[in-house]
Amino acid sequence: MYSTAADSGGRRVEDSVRPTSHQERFDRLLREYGTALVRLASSYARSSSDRDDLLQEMALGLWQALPGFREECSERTFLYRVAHNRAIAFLMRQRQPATMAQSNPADLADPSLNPETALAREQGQRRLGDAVCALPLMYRQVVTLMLEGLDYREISEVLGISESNVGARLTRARGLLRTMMGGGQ
Amino acid sequence: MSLDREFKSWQQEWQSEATPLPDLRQRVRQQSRFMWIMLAFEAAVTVGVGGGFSIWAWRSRQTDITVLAACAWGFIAVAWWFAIANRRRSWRAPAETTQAYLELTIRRCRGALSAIRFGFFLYFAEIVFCVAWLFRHNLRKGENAALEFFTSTWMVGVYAISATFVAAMFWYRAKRRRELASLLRLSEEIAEGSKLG
Repeated sequence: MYSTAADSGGRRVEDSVRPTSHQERFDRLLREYGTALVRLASSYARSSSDRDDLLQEMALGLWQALPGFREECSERTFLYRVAHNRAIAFLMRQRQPATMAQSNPADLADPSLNPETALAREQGQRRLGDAVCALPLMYRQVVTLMLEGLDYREISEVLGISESNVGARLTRARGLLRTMMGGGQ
Repeated sequence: MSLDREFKSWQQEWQSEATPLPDLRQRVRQQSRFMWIMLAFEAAVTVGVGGGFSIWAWRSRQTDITVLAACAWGFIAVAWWFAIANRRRSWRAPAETTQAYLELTIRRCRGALSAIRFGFFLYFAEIVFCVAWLFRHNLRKGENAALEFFTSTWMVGVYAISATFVAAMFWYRAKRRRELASLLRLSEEIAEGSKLG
């Protein structure tokens, strides 16, 4: 069984069954972390077309970097590292600061929810997304990774910073998020 | 609400957004193929231009065409030498960190600016050489006087292409300079952030 986005945490690749080829591993990573990549891309790209372009760059970066993956960290850490680095390059080409991608409501609609709940949920997501997008990059990076469920050690591995630095950035980011979201929840 | 509960609720809200992933496999395959095609195109241009002049020189057995072929290979060699030297140390980041990747991106951006300068001088060196060669080649046959040559339709085309080339170079240089400025600002911001904790 391969590791999944929910359970892989700090697990090393040795713990999971190794894929047989580059293509299979790439496909599996996209399957497991695809939605997480979309959320990550949405925190950097302001429109859905930009988000799709960034997703394509992240996927291409992953495809090119996978053969060089020496399994010194978990696949999840590796994937986020590649994705974040591609996002920085993407951000530099944008003239205006990135804001939350305008999601297509149809993409977000959950048929199991009634319209009021769905609307409230969408508004909450948008409010949080807008606040995350408005954060300075160094805070946005740690916040998006934390929101995806990575722990301090994994975030420090992804970004190449110390765990204490992760903690300090998160504390400041949390304060900023709370202010931007109108005093927290 | 405690700090952990607050973050947990944000996490739930964040992760509840599940926009479907577009078909990236197909796009990645297309883009990878495109990159190989571009590489093959560069090689084909080298072989085509250099080889074409060489074959022409070999068939004609004229000294000035041999000089033209030799100079074409000279320009090709200089262009490849610069491309390789300019890309050295820009292939990959020395470490897998944001800072290292940012430094790599800055190096690539500076490399692109150097390439613009180099491309500018190389283009004009080639144009001056080609025009001088054609002028001399045609004069020897006695077909054109200098004035006629420099006002010919062919030369008007050269002026137009050169003007377009220069305008495109300036536009691209301004774009890359803006990008470099943003990269440097971001690098400073990240370096400042690393001092936290």
